[in-house]
Amino acid sequence: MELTGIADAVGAVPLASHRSLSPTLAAFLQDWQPRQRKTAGYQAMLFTRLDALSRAHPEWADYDLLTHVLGALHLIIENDRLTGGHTREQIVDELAGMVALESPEASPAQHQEIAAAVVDLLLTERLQRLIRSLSGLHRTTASFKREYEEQQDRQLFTYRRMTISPQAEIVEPLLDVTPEQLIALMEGPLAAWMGVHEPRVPSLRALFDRVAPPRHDRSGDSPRDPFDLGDVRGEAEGFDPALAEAVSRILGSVTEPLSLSQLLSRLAMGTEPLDDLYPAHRHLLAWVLGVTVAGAYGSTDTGEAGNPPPEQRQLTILRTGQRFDDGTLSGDDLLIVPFPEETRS
Amino acid sequence: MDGIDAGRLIAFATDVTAVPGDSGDRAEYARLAGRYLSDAAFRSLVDDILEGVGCEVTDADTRGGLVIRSRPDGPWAWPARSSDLPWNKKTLAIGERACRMLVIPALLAFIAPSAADFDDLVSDATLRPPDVTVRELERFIRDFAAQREAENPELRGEERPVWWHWLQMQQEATTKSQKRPARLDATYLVYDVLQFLHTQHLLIKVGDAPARGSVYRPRRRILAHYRDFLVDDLFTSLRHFAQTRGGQSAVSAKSDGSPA
Repeated sequence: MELTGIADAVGAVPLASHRSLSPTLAAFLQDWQPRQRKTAGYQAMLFTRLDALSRAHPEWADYDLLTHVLGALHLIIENDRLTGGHTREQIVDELAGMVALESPEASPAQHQEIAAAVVDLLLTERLQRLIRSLSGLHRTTASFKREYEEQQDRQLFTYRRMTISPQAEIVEPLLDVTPEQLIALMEGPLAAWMGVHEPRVPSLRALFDRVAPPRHDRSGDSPRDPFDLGDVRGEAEGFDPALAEAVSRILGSVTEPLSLSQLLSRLAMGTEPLDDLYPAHRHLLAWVLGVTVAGAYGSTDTGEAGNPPPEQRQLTILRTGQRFDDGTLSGDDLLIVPFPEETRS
Repeated sequence: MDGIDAGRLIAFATDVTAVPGDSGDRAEYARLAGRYLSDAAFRSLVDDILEGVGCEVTDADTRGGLVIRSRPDGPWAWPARSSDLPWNKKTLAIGERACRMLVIPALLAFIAPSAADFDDLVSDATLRPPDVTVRELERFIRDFAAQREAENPELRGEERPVWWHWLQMQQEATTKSQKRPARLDATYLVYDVLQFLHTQHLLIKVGDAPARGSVYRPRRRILAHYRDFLVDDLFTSLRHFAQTRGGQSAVSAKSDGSPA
């Protein structure tokens, strides 16, 4: 098949015969072949013109004109892609620099002339189409590249082979270290191994679950001793000690009888400095305050044997029969009566 | 809608019991996990939200769902010293704490002793990790400890290794001859740790046997936790520890393939 200039979009093979071909070749004839014929035709025309140029200028025989044509093509495509286009003069000036490298002793005017002739080879209407088509190809390639780069993080999720033996390389070495060393090695990794700690909202149910003894198994099958209440429960996870301190400070500042609802509304007005509390814990303060006051109601600290700690002797709580409901807490509006100053310490 | 989908996906991902599937909620999880993998903008949204709560996605696929790791200082992280963790209870002696911690890697070694076993279980979603009985797991650890004792019949020095502490515990307290069985027996200790993992939904309790006879089935998700959160880090720490101790540990020798 001869490539002479721009050939027919559809080649010599008649389209009617497509159905007898394999899907791959049929698609080639239908979609790819017309475009490739065009591109090949443009390229053939370019080489014909280049051949004509070199024949017309035998004095340029020492110059590698093909490289300069391709350089010019590259400049046009790259500039078009990156900046939206350059003038002919800008491209000629830039290319002349590369031409000069071949024969530095020749005059700059000659370099400029060669560069101009090479660029003009490309500036025919038909070759402009080639350039546009190649620019389009460039853009497509660039978009593939971008897409590929964006998808790169997906590669993180490809399968990874395990090479560490849990028994020989983890458990057996751990048996040989001291408890202190094992704790130091494992404390952090084990917390990570547990995964995400489900965000928890304090609730009366959770509090009850924590402090209530376990259910008694009546079946008799369990070796569990029914009188054994189990392990001593730890402090409530997520309960910030600063909350207790803030409550203690607020109650300590009560100097005259005050109802719980008054105390809570004072708190809601924001008169208390709460800088030492995490913002996430501040909303718990009213609840902790309510529970502390309710817990102090009916305490018999004066009649109890032993010496209760000072913070438990600060308050007397009286029940007046009034109720309150501020939207978040409701119940008996207990009256907080501070101990006289001299008995506080 | 993107925000709602992102929230739903994170809700699924933080639930260790959730597994993508073909119907109902499971199908929704599969759809969202697929979207996470194929839609770069959606993935970026989910990743950004998780970044905000100190987490990252370590694995994602439409069969296993998303595996989320929390930074140690993140708001969704377990505090390393939380007294809710069964190895951190304040009443425990230090030896017992270490023994409780040891149950976690021992559980992995019990269900997947070699790297190839581990690899098979993780890579083939149709394989189910074997059931683990409390007594078998205790026996598994005790056998290794007894082997160590046989190799070191006269242990000297103040620093007793973990295997020694394990053997100090009675294997199983008898209940018939004593009115109050000692709680500090090794089998009960193993039960206590596994039961905690059951309450955290990492293990499924099979049947309703008494404490020491309990049987647990590991969820597949637990394997992803071992692979993504524990094994590499722990192995690296152990190597580092062995090197700083003068290269005498079995860790470095074994990692080179030579016998201990």
